[in-house]
Amino acid sequence: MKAKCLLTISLLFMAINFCHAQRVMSAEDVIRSSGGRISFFEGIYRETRPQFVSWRLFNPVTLDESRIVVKYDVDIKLDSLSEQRVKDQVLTLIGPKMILSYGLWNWRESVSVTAYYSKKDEKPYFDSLASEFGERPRGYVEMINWFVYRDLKQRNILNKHALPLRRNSIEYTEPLPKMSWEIHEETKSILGYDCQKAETDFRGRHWTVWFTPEVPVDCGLWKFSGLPGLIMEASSADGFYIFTAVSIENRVMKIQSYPKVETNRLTREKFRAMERAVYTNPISGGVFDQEKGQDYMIGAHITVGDPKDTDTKIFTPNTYLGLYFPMELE
Amino acid sequence: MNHRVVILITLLTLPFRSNAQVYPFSLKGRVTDTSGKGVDGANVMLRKPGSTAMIGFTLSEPDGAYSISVNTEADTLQVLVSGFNISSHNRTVTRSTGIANFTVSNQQQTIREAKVAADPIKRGGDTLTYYVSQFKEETDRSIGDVLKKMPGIEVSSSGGIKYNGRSINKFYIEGLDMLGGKYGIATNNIQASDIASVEIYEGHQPIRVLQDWVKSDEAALNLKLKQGAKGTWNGILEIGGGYAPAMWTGSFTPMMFSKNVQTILTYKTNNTGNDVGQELKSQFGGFGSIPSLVSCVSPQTPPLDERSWLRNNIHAVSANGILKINDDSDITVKTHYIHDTQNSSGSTRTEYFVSGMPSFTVEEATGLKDKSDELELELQYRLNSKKRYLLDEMSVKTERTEDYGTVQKGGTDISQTASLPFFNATNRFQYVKTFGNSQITARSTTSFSKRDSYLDVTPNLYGEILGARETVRQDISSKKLYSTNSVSTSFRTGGLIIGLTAQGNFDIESFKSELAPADSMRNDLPWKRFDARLGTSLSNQAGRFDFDLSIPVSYIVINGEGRPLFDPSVSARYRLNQSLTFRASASQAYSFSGLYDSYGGYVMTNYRNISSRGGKLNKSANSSASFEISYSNAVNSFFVNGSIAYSKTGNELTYGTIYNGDFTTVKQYDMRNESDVTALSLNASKRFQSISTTVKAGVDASESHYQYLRQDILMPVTRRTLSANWGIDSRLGQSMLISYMGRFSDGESRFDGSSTAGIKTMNQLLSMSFLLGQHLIAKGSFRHYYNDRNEGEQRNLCFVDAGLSYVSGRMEYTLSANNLLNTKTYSTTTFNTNTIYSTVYELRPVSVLLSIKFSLR
Repeated sequence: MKAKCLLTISLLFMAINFCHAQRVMSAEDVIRSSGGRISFFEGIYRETRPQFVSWRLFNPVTLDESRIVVKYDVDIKLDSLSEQRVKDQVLTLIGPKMILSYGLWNWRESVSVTAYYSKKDEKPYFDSLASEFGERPRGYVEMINWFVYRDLKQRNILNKHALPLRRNSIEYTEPLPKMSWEIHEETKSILGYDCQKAETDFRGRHWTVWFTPEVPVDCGLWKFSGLPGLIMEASSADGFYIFTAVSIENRVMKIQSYPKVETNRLTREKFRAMERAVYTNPISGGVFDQEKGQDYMIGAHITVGDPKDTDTKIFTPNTYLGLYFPMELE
Repeated sequence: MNHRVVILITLLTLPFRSNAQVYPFSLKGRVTDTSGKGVDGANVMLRKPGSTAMIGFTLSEPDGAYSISVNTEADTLQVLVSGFNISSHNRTVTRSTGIANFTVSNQQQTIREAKVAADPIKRGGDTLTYYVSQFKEETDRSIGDVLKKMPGIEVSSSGGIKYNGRSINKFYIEGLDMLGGKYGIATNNIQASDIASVEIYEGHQPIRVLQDWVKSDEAALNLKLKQGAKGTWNGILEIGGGYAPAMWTGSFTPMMFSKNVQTILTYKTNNTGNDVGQELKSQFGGFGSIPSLVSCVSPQTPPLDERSWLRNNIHAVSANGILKINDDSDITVKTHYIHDTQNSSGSTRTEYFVSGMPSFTVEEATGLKDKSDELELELQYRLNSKKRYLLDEMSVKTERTEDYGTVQKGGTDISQTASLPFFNATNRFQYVKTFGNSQITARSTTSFSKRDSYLDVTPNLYGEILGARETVRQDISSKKLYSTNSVSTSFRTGGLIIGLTAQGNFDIESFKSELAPADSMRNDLPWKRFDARLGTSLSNQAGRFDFDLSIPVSYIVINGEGRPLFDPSVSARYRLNQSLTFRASASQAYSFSGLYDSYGGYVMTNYRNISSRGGKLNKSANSSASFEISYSNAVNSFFVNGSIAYSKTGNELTYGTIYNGDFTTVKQYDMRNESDVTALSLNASKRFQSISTTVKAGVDASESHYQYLRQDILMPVTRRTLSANWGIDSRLGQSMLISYMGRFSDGESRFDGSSTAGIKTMNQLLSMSFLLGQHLIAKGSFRHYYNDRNEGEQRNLCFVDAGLSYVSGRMEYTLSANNLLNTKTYSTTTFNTNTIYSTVYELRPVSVLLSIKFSLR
């Protein structure tokens, strides 16, 4: 749907430019003839959330099989001014050799696209994988763009990232980062498990987590490690991220890598620079009028009904807020 | 230390106590497996005795060695050693212990599974989405089982679905309308595990081109399938057998739902008392029915689950499909065939009250064998685009019913045989098109029906009237050709929509009957009715408040005699917000009795009823008003609807019953009568997701006043009824499911200031299921029926059923035992105005049934 909208907008622009050149119809004429369904704005045009390109996960390679699968709800602050929040989910597959933690709905979208394009032999597998997780519930969006593969033997982490409007997977490897935890005696119950509080500072954010020694695995979500029990809840002090376990199951799922996804291997530093550029440049991937010397985009804003209900948001350079709030700030 | 991450624990301020001094508490040792090899990465944690919070921890080195030190005031601590896939160990240590070694064994770890309860219902605009996974329990099989647990959705015993008190107008599967009103096929046969969500579209106008023109006050239901259930064959194959009597059950229900084609095929057979023909009946009603005037007297069926009384032998097959030609048009085919034999036996005592006279009673013992065949075919083409709508639907239905009954009454054996064949062919056409600011709708429905029936009664009980004959035969031959045609147009001015309608209907019927050659025992009536109607309507579409005003004027010609009529109606709706809606309506309507209310020759309708209607036409005038509130809150999963309705009817003619010995005749009196009824209804339902519980409750009350003519005596009657129903579905802990529902009713009639002492009844059903491990489900159900008019033991009747299911992959094996208390008869007393019926019905005996189900996917 989103892709269709973008396409429509681009086509519309081409059409408008064409009309302009032919001096047949002005943009105002187009607006008038649309009967109020199309309006134009000048300003920075941005989707209210990142738009990821789905990966084709053909010929997956199974690295390990999970024993435990934990699902987390992620509550994410979109910007600090409006305090607007969205939700996504993270899945952590815990195997004897490997732990994989990733954004569920970004991956699930890739799974159904893969199912659509896959040949007969692979189709049933991706179809069943897609149906296992069902449709994305209302209110949840694709926000979490990382896949964290933690190799328990090598004690390292392979980070894979999807970036908005970029087809390739960007990846880098790092040794398992050390986290020094401060353990508190406070306890609370999450999903019926007794959890204990711990805190750490990690790469620019202060994290408070609740872990349960009842599940004696040293992990949780993302790259958190170094605690004697499963992390059931994690929140950053600035309120940008709140992860809460919503299900924990004894479940066998394949921990897979996807060799057919085009990949750029970078260093962590290079990746961070690239990530920053993609998220903070509002006009990358957009259309803007350089002839007029505009450094922001003019976009067509298609509204049917109340503009508040559509997914697009209009900014001026003064009010522009990026979606750049990565988990690691350093 | 090499690459092992060493975790340093910073200890937290422990609660300060006076004099409490903290000292370092150190412990070291080794964690080894049973072969003496060091265990790498085991968690070693220190806790204060009696606390679940740890005060320090470390991980063992690759050689199994560990060392830990914490600052604490405690002299005794607990060491806990645990890890992924190793056994946990627990030991108490003191400051002097110093060294603690642990030997652990490999152990496959299974954690306790847990899940957060997500929102069961979400609202987006006018669409409510019910997530099936939030309602479905292990014992639910069909999607119908889950629909019953959804708050705001009611499923009646006949399978009809209501949303917040109003019947749905469409049932979609993935947005396609394959089944029309026969959606029972879907609710009973589509597996709940194949459905991701159930959507309710509030105020759904199914004709797209009319969406901006005609507001709908009804909701539609859509089933969204899980990804994996699309495009493949699903369904169930079931076979089973049992005893007392020898029983079988079998069904095969393959179905497929892909993007452009959907099909559901069903074949079901059994003699276990499961009336599988019910799901093939339309919930939307049809055209061109002809009443069957004659019938065999049979015991009133008990209000119990049909499986405890129905003695059937049924084969039902249906084929349904929809083919989407393009985005806007589709073709639908539905056909079914039912062959059924039902046996019933019991006895009835009927007590008739007449004011100022002693009541009199009729007692009879009856047995009936009802053989029926039904074949129906429906074809439909529909174009539903944003600019045009075109529908043509053809249906043909043929029924053959043969009844063989025996009656024992006062020492006489009476045999009764009835044949009630029926044929109907209907074509329905509708076309809608918009032109800028106006729209045009054309509708035409034509139907032809025929019923040639007879009733034979032996011996001849009416010797004085009908002469000496061994057998009395009532012959009836009816035909009906009915057509309704209309053209309407509407256009917009300002915020208003003004509509004009021209309608022409005709109804040509013939009714021939013969009981005896005498004229008073025969009918040969033609019936020609023509209606011409011109109507104007006014409605608005904008905002929270909308209304519809309709002012039609008609001219009706019945058998050459013309009469003008005026039937105005108004309805209004105010939507305070997304959740709360108020509705009010008022209407005035006139109607004329039909052919079957005005025949003059006597007809034997059953072995002890001979009646005629006097040959005159009755005109009745009805005025009604209603007010309704509905509240639907998806966030709280809370739904309420309440209504109050008043209706008053005046008739120019009055019908009365005369009981002469055991025989009944119906007479027409040239006398006005009036009746009114006030009805109140309130229903609420709520889901408590955190405890997986749905609660539903409702109350209905009514009071009516009318006159009743019996034995030429006019009796003003006041009747009051009150009923309440409640139900709860809940999950108790991990392994127990409970469902409890009940219904209470109290009703009484008063005439002449005396009362027929009301009848109070109560039904309760409690069923419990126990999940025994992953595969086994045990189920027990208990039913209780109370009727305060019954005597002795029959006042409280109980039934116990039990079942055991083993589910493994795609197979399910079920052993069920029904009527374990072996209750042989069901007695009930019901009343109707001033007649009390007491029925004793023979039930199915205790039985055991083993069935095997195989899921196609």
